[in-house]
Amino acid sequence: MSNAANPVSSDSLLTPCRSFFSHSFSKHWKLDIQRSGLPEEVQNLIETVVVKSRLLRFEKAEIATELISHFQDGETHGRSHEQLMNDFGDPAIIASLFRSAKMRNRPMFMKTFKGLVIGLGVMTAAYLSVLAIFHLGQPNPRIDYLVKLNGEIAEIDDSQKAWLLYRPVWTKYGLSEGGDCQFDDLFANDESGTGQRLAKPTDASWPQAVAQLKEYRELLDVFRVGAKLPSLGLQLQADRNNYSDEDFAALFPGQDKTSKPMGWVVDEKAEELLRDSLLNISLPHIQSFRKVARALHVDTRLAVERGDSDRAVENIETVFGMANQAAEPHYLVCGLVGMAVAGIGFEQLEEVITADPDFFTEPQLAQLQAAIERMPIRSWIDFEGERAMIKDVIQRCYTDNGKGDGRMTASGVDLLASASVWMLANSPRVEDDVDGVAYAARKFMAPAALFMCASRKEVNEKTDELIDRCMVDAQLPYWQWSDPEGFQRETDAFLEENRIRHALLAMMLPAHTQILNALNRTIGRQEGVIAALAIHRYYKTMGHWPSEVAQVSPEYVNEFPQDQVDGSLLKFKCIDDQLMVYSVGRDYDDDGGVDHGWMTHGRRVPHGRAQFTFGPRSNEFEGDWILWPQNVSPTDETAEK
Amino acid sequence: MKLEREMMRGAGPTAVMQLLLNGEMYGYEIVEALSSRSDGVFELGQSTLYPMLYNLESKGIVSSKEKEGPNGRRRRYYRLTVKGKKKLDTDREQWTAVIKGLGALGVTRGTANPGLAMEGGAC
Repeated sequence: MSNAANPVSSDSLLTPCRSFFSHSFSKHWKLDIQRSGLPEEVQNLIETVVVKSRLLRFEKAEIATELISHFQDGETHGRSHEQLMNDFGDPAIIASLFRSAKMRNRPMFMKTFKGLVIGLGVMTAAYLSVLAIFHLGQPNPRIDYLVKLNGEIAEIDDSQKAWLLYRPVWTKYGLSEGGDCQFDDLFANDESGTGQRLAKPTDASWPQAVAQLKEYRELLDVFRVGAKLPSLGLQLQADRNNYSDEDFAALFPGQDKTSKPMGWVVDEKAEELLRDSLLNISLPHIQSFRKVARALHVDTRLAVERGDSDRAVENIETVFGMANQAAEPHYLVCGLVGMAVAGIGFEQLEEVITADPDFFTEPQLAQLQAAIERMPIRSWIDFEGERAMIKDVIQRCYTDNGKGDGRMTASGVDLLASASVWMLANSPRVEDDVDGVAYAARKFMAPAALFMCASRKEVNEKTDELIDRCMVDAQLPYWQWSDPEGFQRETDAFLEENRIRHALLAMMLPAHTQILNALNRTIGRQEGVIAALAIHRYYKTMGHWPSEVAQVSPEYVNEFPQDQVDGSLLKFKCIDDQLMVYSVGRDYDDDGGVDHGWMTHGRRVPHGRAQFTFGPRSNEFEGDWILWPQNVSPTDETAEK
Repeated sequence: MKLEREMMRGAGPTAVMQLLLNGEMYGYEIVEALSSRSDGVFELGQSTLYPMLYNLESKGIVSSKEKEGPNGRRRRYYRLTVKGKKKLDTDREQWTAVIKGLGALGVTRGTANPGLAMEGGAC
């Protein structure tokens, strides 16, 4: 209906399109002018106007046709070409008028196309500019954080370094990851038959365990000597080529220095930057301390079976010495392994004393108590290693303007992207993606990091702010923390909101609350064991259990340990010749040493072995936290393994 | 008498629309008709007609089509669209009002408002 009413209008809409297709490919306007039969000066005039109009070819053809007709019709109407040219006007002005009118009359798709081309051009130019700026910036790492990290160790006299003692047997027995030393015979099937635990004298496989201990006697003897030294003394290297041949052979059994340590960096420049960074430090030695600690645990069972209390004391002291050495480099992972090794020592000690309170003499208990008191567990977690690692990555990702600021670089984005994939997937297969769409897309989008990532200064300041706060909390028992949950909540919210802007921090900042919970849990256990040993010593001396703290302290322990939950003195009670030391737990009430435990995976687990978490008062966690004895179950041992 | 450019810019398109009301015309034909039928008032610089036609075409007021004329030559013919006819009606009313208003002001002869004329005279 509307078409019938307005046929001309639709025709007008189509005309430019028709013109475009009819003139674009078939006609050449210059040829039309030449064939017009008009005088040369008229032809020149038409050509001048058409050329100066600077329009598209089909539009020029239209104008040429129109003007040819104009002059031909003028002549037909009796006008001379001179008159027509005089009346025609200024060619430049006319060309300009033609141009603006024709452009206004262009079909919508051409206007759209032109807009797209211009937009695309502007965007391309902007992208290329950003790309150039992005790729011109190069990181320039100036600070050798590795030297700082190893600095304290370098100053220690060789005679105080256990590593020099350990290294020959470490190599000989293949103690590091990938080596031959697995201590397989020291494990037996647990009571459920579904897992394994450390072998006991009552196990059928006990003779094999004893034989394996004999096989590794040299190794364990060296550790018994080395663990007495104050320092491990191993200087870590980011680039494995920098290890001495002896260190390398001990740390990387079966490998050669030329092999690529990590296959997860896809960009050569990023890999070069990573090679010397703290992020590239691998710690192949660290889990070996746990292996040896478990072997010593079995050896302690053998010592108990043989009534050799001196050997048991030496074994347990060795474990505590190793815990201290494992935690030596200021890395959280080292501190956490140190705490785990210390935990193995606590278990051994508790196992022996709860089974036979008379096994150790009072001086031996005092010796063990002193060994435990010497472990500066709180200093093992100081976040300085993490600060150094983050700052090292910052200087390898950002440019440096010499004033503490800089911008993200292409290599930095590659380094972060590769590291994040590796950290999330723990997979070296990223390199397979070099030809993939995802990799190409990342490369294309990478310059956006200039705008989306925080500046070097901002990341540095935020790192210091967060790590400083972590360090303050790490130095205090839980009850002295200031709003730890709030801090963690704020930090999580900040990193969630700034996942791109602070991608580096989101990726590398340690889980503050989890780590400090583990730290305070271990210190709580340490304090509980110290209190238990002091009370046992009182019992051995006096022949009866103490009824109050004043009887034990200061004679058997200088300061009676405090409860990590609320700062009060730890509670203890003695029933049927069994001592119990406990904390008030998360309900902050003294429930008389009743541990209601913690429900996890459908079963109730004692707090001591479960994930006892510090936090504000909550009746969800009703009951006390038993620090001594924690009655390690075979299942828990299996989990530990 | 020829119109000044600004006047032509306002009145020219209406004049062209009025010519095309009777049927399609080609460019030179319009130029000639404008000049002869307006006693030279709408004597355009000949080539300025074409940009004007393209502008009208872009607004959907006229449409054009290239076809063969009586003499066998191909020319572009312009015709008024339905939209153009409506536009011409509107323009016509407005020009009438303008002329009336100008007459009332005494700008055009024979239609002066005596009151305003006296006022003007007093000044």
